[in-house]
Amino acid sequence: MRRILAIFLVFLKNWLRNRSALFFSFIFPLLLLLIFASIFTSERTQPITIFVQNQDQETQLSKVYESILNKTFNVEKIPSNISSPVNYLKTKKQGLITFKIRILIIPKGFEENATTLAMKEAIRLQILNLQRTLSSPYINESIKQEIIKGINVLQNVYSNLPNKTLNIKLITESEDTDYLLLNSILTQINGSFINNLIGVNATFSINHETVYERRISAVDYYLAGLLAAFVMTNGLFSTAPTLVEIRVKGILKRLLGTPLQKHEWFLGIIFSILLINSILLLEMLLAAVIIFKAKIGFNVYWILIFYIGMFFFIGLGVFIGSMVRSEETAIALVNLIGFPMMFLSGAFWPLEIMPDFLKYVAQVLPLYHFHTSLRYIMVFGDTTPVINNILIVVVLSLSFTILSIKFLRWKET
Amino acid sequence: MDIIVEAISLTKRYNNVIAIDNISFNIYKGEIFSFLGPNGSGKTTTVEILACIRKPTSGTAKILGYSINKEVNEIKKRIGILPQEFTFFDLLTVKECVEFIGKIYGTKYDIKQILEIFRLEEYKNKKFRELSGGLKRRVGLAMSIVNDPDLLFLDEPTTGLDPESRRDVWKYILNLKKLGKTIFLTTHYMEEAEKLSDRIGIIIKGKLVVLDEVKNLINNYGGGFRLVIYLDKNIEENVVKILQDNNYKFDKKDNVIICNLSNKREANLLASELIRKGIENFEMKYPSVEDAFLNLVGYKISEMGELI
Repeated sequence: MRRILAIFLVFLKNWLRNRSALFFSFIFPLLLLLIFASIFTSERTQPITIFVQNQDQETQLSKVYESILNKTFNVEKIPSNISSPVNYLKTKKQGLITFKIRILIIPKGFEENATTLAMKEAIRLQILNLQRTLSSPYINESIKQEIIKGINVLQNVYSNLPNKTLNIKLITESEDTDYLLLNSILTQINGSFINNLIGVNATFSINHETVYERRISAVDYYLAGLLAAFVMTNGLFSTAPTLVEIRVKGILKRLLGTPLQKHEWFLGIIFSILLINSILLLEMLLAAVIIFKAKIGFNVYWILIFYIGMFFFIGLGVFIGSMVRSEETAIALVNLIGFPMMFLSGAFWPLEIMPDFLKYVAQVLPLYHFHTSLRYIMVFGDTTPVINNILIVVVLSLSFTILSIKFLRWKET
Repeated sequence: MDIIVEAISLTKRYNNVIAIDNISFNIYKGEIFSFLGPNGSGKTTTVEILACIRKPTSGTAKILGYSINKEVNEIKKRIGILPQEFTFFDLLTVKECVEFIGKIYGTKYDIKQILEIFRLEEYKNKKFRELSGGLKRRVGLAMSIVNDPDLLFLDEPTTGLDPESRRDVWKYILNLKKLGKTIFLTTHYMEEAEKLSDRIGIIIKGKLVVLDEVKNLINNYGGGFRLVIYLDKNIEENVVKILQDNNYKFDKKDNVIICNLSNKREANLLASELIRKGIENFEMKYPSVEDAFLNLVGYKISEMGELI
């Protein structure tokens, strides 16, 4: 135990005193979490911004309509005398369009049209109501005749009123994927506005209930992805090149001349990386919980899969470090294995945005199974849907741990 | 004399290459025993077999009475080693390097005293990578005595060092001998072997060519004393006449005459005669290990360790 502790401390000191190792083990993952989670968390938390130009601004009804819009959207006004609202926005923002162009134009004559439309609609409803009354068996003939006269008068008024429509103009970018959503919201607002105008209460009402369904947030995604990716880099980079360096420099030979045993050497290395990865886990969890309010269930399964996955990458690193002859080859090899895995496995971005063939490539990469199982258990606390991923990680970890113990150099031939 | 190392017919083969070929020798308590030979002669392989780092293909050895084949741990507890071109963990301090090896052995040691022996106190908080080559070897020597070993293996302890650092390391090796340590040293530096060793084994291509005390090596194979006379036109005729009159054997090449003499007395007589005749541009060459090596092997060893 004394010797394991000595090896553990030497590796740890050597690692923690190496500034670049320190940066890439602890600071870089944290920076990536802060950057990715900040960017993708803030995207939908703000209300939709809509620019409104009221060309009928002296009228009461257009102002009421504007105030209704203001309850749903973040409304920014465009002066009524501007002939090209799009150019106006471009000029105002000095050509730097960092927002989506969504302009709603309330046309001149909005109040007059709305009033006429509401009046016509009210008369149409009244006519329908009177026609229904005519069919009643409890009304005598003389009253019926009076009602018919009334219907005729109303129909006369109705047909003499001009046909009006409320033409609200909506300008959006051609690539605005939220156009349909915007259109639907505006249709509902308009219908509600006219109903209120003619004094009709809403026929349908929606009873709103909430259910709790945990879904993947940006911080959930990146926390697991980055943890897995940097457990991989810590495992590979802290073993393969280091073991070759120790051998090439003759440090191993020096240690072989002491009573140190192979298992003590191996365990000392493992424990040092285990501590490095535990510090990484702790800082990432703290950042996710404190800064991004991530809701992580602390169950034993994801902690287990975190450390099991770690053993795979340490095993792979030790195996490479035992097989290659030069430090340069070891570095090239771990880069060759690590970087494609980092970018193609979906650790840094969801597979959904990747081309189909890359989705298949991702699924043969060990890191994909590691971060997928880690993420699912962290977020949902359930292992069943990712049981295959877990099994792959466990089998790989066991295999490479055995290989690394078998091939770890602890003698000169 | 107590035998500390008893090597019996050690052979090591790497595929078809024979690194050491059936060598046997003893090392006695308290002596500095050196293997002198060029690169690739089998020095390091021998050290590594005796320090239980490699296994021999055949043959055996006893270190401090323990078999290298069966009692590896007992041997490792009792030996110290300074490997060839020694380096260590770059980011550990000098003190941490020594303490680390101490923890591996688990024996009691006085870190202050060890640092004092090798004058490392002022460097104890310096990182290993910040040290000069000579200081790194001193740290290696300090690490090799942490477990108070009875036998030290110093594999080319000064290779790659400048002459000043080399002499500095020699001083510490001789101090270790004074502390009662038995030392097995390997080197390709003739002067180093001669200055430090009690006995030298010359090893070439895995074979032990000769093994003897330093003075016996020089006496038996050093080739006697030589007087080297540097000529100019005025004295050439005179010098040749003196040598011929006294029946001295000599070789003349360009402006140099080398006269081989059988012993120191004869050399002194000739030197006196030359001085009496006003000839002072000469020097006396005493036989050395280098001469013995040249006479035995037919080559010298370059600074880089190659046969030339």
